[in-house]
Amino acid sequence: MPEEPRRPVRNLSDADIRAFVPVHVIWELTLACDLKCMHCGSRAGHRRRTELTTEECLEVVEALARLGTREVSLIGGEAYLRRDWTEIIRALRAHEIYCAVQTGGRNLSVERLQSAVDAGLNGVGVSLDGMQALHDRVRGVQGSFQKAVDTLRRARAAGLAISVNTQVGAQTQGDLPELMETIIEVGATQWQIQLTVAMGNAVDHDDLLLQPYELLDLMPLLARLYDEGVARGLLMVVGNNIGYFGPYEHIWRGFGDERVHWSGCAAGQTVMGIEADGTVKGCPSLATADFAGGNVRDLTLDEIWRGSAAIHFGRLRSVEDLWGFCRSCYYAEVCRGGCSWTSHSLLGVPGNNPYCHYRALEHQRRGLRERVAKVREAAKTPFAVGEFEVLTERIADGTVVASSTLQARPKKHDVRAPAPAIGQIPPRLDLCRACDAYIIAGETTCPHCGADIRAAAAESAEAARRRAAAMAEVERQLARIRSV
Amino acid sequence: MTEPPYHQGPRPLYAVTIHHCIAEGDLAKMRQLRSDAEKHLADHGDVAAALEVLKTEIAKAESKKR
Ligand code: SF4
Ligand code: SF4
Repeated sequence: MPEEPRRPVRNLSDADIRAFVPVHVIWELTLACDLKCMHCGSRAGHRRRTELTTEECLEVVEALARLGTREVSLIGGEAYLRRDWTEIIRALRAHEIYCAVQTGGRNLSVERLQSAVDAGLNGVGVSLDGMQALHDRVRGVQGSFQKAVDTLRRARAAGLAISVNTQVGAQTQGDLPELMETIIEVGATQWQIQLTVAMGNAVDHDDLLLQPYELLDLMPLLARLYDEGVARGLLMVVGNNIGYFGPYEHIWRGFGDERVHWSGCAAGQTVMGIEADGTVKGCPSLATADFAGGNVRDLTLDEIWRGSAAIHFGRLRSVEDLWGFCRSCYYAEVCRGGCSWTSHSLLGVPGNNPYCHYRALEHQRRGLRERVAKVREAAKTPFAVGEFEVLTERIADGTVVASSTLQARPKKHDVRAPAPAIGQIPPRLDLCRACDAYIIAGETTCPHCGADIRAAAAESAEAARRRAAAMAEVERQLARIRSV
Repeated sequence: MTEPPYHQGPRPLYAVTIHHCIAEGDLAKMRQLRSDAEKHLADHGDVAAALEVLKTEIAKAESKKR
């Protein structure tokens, strides 16, 4: 049975960030798939015509090991539809790279799973997008929910770490409480929540997309489920596009460690995506047309990672690249417009992200809300984006007061500009202890609630002291009981 | 405020989520201690007073959180 690491291997040190180590790599082994998901960004189904050979894959593994990668998520399509997938797992594990597969679980049979376990697979993540009726419809295959749940059970019985990813769209909210019960019952310990993104098949089925203003209902529900989950051994992981800096940021981004907050997209800095034909990107979900950094058949992985401007977009990114509401946002410097994939897929340029809780709340305070509307379909190719418009409208009467189509967009980077050689450690925000909103270090009065920051901090320190004393006393007494 | 010893890893959206992460912070620790203490309470009366104090602190932390 694989040895369990004591802490996530993808946690980053300052050295990882400074040296741009691709700590976490997401590798699409094949685009062949046995599901027909209505929201699939890569439009998976058939293999790509020119997928890497086994030998080429094993060379990629060696290159990743040299670059210092510590975790690889195998994805597809369905990674298990490649006959040599266990050979690739074995090679990754030989370098002690943590290896887990993300799957719809439809045909991860007993034999397939066992051969992956024998090769050293560490974990399985299964996608569940709702309870049976919704999941089966969205995933395009009747019975796929049950297969996915069975896969989780079998993976757990085989001693693997198991987790669930759920895409949240317009129809998902009502299913979430019951889904959480199912996930707890099968024994998964992490549950990643992410929003469906307007890419590929999801552009064709744009009724699946959540409207940005619906975050105002979704986020309190997620916060309640987060809390219940913690009490019952299930940790909700809010994905990179569950944005940002709202009233729950201090609770969930760091799993209770309030020093941790969203600090910007890591694409091309500590994250790498590889497509099945060897195309390398800064993040697996990004549009191939705009973010392909090169192919391992033409250049070495190291050359692509260190030298490609398309990979380095995130390293060069600054407030100058933000636009719309994000440009003048209080958190702009730290946030840099949230998930690049989410906003680029919507608007063709990253840096203006309506799927943000803080932004939705700010609009609500002004009597406004944002919704998205499709203006152009996506091409039928993998990872193709269409185009959407973000409309700002009055809540009271629906009058549209602004549109993203009329807003100035940032100029494209000069691709000849070299990316910085050393990665920047993201700035650390403080927390206003009166309203629990993040603030820029050095503020004396909270820009959100007007509290005196030092007075609120002193009161909070006193509460922390009381909590520590209460815990120490119970611990002392328990230790005494246990010692007799 | 001391620096965390690490930066949390990214959570890209096509990937397997973070395995082996656990709940952090006082509230999670207090709740764990409460459940440990409750298991012992039946036999050992003297945890009771300390446990009551702990429960009060949990209630305060929970109400602050919302
Ligand atoms: S409005 Fe934009 S920059 Fe501000 S927190 Fe939200 S996503 Fe980030
Ligand atoms: S594009 Fe989005 S999913 Fe990808 S690394 Fe950036 S924030 Fe994460």
